[in-house]
Amino acid sequence: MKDHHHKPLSRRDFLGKSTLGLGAISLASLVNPMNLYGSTLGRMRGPHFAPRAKRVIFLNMIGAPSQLDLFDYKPVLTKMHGVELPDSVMGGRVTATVAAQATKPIVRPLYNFSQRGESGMWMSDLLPHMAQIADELCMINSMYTESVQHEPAQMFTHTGSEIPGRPTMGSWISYGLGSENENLPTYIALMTKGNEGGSTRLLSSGFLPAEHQGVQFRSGKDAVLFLNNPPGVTGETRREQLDYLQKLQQKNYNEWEDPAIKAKMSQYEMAFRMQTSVPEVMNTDGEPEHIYELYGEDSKKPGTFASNCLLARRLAERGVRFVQLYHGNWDHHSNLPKAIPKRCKEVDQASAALIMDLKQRGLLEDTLVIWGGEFGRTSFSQGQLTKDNFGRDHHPDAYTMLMAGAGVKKGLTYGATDDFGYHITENKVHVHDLNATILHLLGLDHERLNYKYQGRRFRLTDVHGDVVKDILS
Amino acid sequence: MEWDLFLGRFHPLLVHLPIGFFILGYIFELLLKFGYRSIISSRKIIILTYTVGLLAGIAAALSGWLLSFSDDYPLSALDDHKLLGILTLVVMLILIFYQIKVPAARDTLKLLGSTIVVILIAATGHLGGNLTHGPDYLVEYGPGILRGSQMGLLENSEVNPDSVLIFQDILKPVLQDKCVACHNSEQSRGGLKLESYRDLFKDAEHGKPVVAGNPEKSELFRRISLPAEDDLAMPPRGNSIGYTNIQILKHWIAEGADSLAIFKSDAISGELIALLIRDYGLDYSPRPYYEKVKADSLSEGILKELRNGGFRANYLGENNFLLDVEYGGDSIGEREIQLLNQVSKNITFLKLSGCKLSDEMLEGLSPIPHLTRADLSKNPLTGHSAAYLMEQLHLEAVNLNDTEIDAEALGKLLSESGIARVYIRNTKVSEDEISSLSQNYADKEIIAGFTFEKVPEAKSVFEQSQEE
Repeated sequence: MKDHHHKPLSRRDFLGKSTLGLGAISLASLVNPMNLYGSTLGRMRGPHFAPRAKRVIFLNMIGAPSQLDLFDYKPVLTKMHGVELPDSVMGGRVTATVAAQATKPIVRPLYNFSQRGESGMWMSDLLPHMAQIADELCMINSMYTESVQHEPAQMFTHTGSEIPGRPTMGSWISYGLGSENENLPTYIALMTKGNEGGSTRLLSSGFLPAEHQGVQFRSGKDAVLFLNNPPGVTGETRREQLDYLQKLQQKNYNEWEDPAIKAKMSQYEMAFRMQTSVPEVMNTDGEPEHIYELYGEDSKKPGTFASNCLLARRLAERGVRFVQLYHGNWDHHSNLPKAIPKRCKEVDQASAALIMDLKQRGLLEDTLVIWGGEFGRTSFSQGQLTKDNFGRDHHPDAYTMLMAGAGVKKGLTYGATDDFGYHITENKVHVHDLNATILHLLGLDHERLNYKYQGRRFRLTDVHGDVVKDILS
Repeated sequence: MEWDLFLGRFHPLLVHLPIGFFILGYIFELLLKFGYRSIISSRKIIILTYTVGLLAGIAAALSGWLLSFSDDYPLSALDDHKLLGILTLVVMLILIFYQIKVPAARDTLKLLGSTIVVILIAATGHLGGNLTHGPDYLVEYGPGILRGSQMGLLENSEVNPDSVLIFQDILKPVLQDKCVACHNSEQSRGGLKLESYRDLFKDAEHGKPVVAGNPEKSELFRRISLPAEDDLAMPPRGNSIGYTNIQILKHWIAEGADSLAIFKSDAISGELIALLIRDYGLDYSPRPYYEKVKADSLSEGILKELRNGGFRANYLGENNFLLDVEYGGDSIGEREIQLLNQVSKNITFLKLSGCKLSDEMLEGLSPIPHLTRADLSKNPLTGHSAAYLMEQLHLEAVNLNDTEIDAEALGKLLSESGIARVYIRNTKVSEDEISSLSQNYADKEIIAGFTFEKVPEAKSVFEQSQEE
């Protein structure tokens, strides 16, 4: 039975219905020639204004590392070690676990701090390699966020909403800027084996077209699941199969003229190209020995954070817009003294190496690196403070994020907290502000990067966010 | 003690009495006219109120006359106010006599006379208000049509900051608003005129208003920056010319007080940048070259040709038609160079990496006037390529990793170009040469390989205290 609702447009229909539209298009192109340029299905037409950065690598420390033991130096905590945190300091909201706590003894920073580089940025001995590149970093000590729980706070960092369903930052950026490499996805995520953190929900493109979704690359042979041909199917057969499919799809498209069909076709083709591009980028055998040395001995073991950092550089080299590295197990409610040195050892050298490797290749000119978690940790111990053990609870009111690279001031320590690292006293930076700034660095106006869905235009920064101009170089 | 000024300053207080009394009387008269005889039954009360108003008016006029000697007010406007005030009193006097002497006159005629007086009072009061508060005070926040101001350059939101002349567009309107009323050709208080640019450099009683290059010796700057309570502070009444304008004037004088001076990002302080953004909406924050320069858009045909020729080419922004161009192939030739030459005026970022680019081919490339970043890594380029790079006036960063560049050519490039960052990993430049070049060109970044220093394992404070 012929479906009369979807009959192809006749010449008369087309002329009748579209002349006004054509007129509008030509008028729009007279007003702004960019409107007609580079338009691809389901995405915007490139940056709004000159970008400082073309791509982002987000080293995401899932679980929230303790800013007080790594970055935000508070000597008062050392002086008052073991003393009950005065109620007058706390104020504001407390988590249920904190409220249930009988005592809140202050805990000193676990390791010695000193000032690093020419900039004199404070950093603890826990991150000796990051400390060596302090002059490349911009440290924001005045971050704050909404949620006190991991999942919502992670979701908030990535989507500007605590509730799942919105597109994540990588998807927004993919939507806004498109791809620089047709053979790889625009948004790729890597997870540390053994320290998994984050979830596939953080890769979601929400209501944006699915091509902007993050793709997780796994360590080892089969980086992208189900990408390789099944046994018995050769590359040739696959090509032939795709060609036939193309013809069918084209026929379908001729009848329906649904752009989603074209999108599907281009995704099939992308997957086919990825069969060669993914193994190429994931194979680090060709990297010279001194590069492995730079990233540390772990970098030879697939699935480690160091190995993922090396891969992140390779992906950035190939123009992938947004690379996300997840490293979990930073949630040190107890046993922090034993656990945090391990985490730091896993990430310290490789994080710094990634930044310096990008720099020596000239890639830091237009790559932005971000380092941090979803919130901070408390200045008092959760659970008992003993001679050699303690923990720290979630603390969303003040934490630290690091940035490095394109368009960000080097060696800058921005914002400040009170003597207890509890509240921000100077230059507050909300997650929305940070996200607005990241988009700004990519040449995107966070108020104009929006997508209409269910009658409303949505943004990464919801209806908030101010670009933190002070940290821009 | 100066009796005249002491009493004179009661003028702004006293003026409200005649206004109040007369208008009260006017209300009585209206009530009478429209038949509210239960409230106003006799014309006597009206005449009494008018007479008290007249007496108060005479007191106000006398105090005003004393105040007029203070020479704080522009003479022409003062005269208007004075004359209108006297006229009001005279008409008031006639009206009262008329009402007393001709009781039989028609009510309407009497009311007409009173209405004229009310209008005169309002006009006099308005002129007086203009004298103390300034002519723009009343309608300053009103709709534009009331203000009658013409659209200034700075009210246009699309203004290009580099087109703003400090004197003409900012300082002159301020002088006009705050100073010229007393310092003009008719009335040059202190022997000072501030009507034109030239006037700023003419000797006045207390010295030259502006000494180019020296704000501290400039009398104009000194007087406007004195504390308000100082007798010499200018303007003598009303608000000061404002902190931002004082800072702008200071900056302008310090920079030479040129009539065509503009703000230059590298010459103005961070504070002044912030003030200009806040009060004038002018952003002089240092911006990269590629955001300041304007390029025309290219035809779609040329862009298409470029893209079909193996290049990735994107405009920097919606209204920024500079190009970010990257060659995707692994071997570049004559044809590709020609394609690039077609768009050379638009290129600002250029990446020709790993494409067998030789010195000769680079020579074949036309100068690229707005080139700021060039990535020429992984090419058989030698020291000869430095000559081309030196010609690119705005080149800021150049990537020569994995090329055959040598120390001599690099030294020349660094000394004779404005390049700020150069990448020279895996080249003929040795480590010793890099360190000596880095010393010679301390303001430039020479980026080669990177290795970490070895660090001992850190100990936590708990471990440290256990050891002790």
